[in-house]
Amino acid sequence: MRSKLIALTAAAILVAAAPSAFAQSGGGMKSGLASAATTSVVTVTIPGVVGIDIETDVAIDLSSYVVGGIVHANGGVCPANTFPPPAGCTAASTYAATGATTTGGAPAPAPAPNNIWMAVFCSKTGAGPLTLQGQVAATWLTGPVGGPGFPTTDLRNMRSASNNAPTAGNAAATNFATSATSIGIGTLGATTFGWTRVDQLIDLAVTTGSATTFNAGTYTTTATFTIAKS
Amino acid sequence: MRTLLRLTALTLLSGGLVAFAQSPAAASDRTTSPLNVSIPGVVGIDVESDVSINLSSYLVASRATTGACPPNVFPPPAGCTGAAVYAATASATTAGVPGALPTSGAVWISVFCNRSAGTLSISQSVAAAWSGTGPGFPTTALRTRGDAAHNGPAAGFPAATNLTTSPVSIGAGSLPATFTWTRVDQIFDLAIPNASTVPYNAGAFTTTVTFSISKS
Repeated sequence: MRSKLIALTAAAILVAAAPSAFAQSGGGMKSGLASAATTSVVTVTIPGVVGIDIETDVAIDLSSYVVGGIVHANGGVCPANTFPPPAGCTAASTYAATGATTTGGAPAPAPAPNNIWMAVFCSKTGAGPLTLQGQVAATWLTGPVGGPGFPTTDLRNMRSASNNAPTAGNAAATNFATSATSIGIGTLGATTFGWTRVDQLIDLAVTTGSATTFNAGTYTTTATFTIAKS
Repeated sequence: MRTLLRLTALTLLSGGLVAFAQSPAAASDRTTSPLNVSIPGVVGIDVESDVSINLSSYLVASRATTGACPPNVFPPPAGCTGAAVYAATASATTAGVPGALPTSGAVWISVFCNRSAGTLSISQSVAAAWSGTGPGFPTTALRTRGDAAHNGPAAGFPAATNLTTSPVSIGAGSLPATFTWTRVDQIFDLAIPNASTVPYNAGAFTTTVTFSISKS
């Protein structure tokens, strides 16, 4: 009984030792009268990843749109960049962003005024479709209680006319949704690409126009852009 | 008569007339047979490691920048300039090799030379292509430098230097005219030129680096 146990133990050791004993790397030894050469195999592994980088925050200050002159009430379309919108005007009041702060040192070119510096990256090949999505937080995250009197989804995005060669993004200003919604990838396609600028223009279209209470204060929310490839 | 008998016995013992002729009176005798050992003048080189550079190890958040691409960050930040350098993440060395294991990311290399004349040269080159479609940058983005930890003669480049597809001398350091097996380990890394503009293709890609020694 004792000898059988010993024999089994020895066999187990041999089996366990076999793989490492035969593991070999490199090209081994070569010799010659005048020259010799051997090799080492180098393996480079690139992970399949997607990346997105936004380097700009946006401000829309309606103080900039307080019209000094007389604005008459009218039943027409609310004029752009007029605050408050004329009494009785219809449809949305739109306001362009009034400022955008981009991280110092962000690679040139600078985004167009009121656009956000945005770049995307993809090293995934042969996988599912590429998607680029945008969404906005469902609430104003800071500011006086009650919010400004219009929802965060009155913020809009569209692709920038500059620094967006793939034309990724909505062709026309489109309201953010509170869930991730495709903004279109343009010509980015399914292949891999290095960092590519896809700047976006942000503005505000208060859908309730002249009927909005416009509660004074400064409010912030967060727009999120996402790139995905499954 | 007694003398004759004694000589006859000696002849039988010592194997023949030679012994008899040289020392007929000795109790024992010896002679020589030339043994020729020829040692060829050779050079030898032994590589016992393969290297891996896995950029999955370098996935970290970064910000766009116009500055130099930071090392060991993948993907390199948008807009960064110059090469992105990635240290080798592992080296697999044949089990049982003598001496200390190489430094992580280095290859175990030994060289040998018993040729006293001529000029010694140690060279390296890399294959022109990667396996498969390739990662999006050339094999010449790989670099080597001598690993001071296991390279007494300091053979190899003192600073990381790109490989080339044709053999290039890496320097023999202080290796003497002849030497027994001597460790001259080399450290690998990767320096991807114009790193932030490269369309990296995901996957595992291999290539072969050839080290050679010659003395002519």
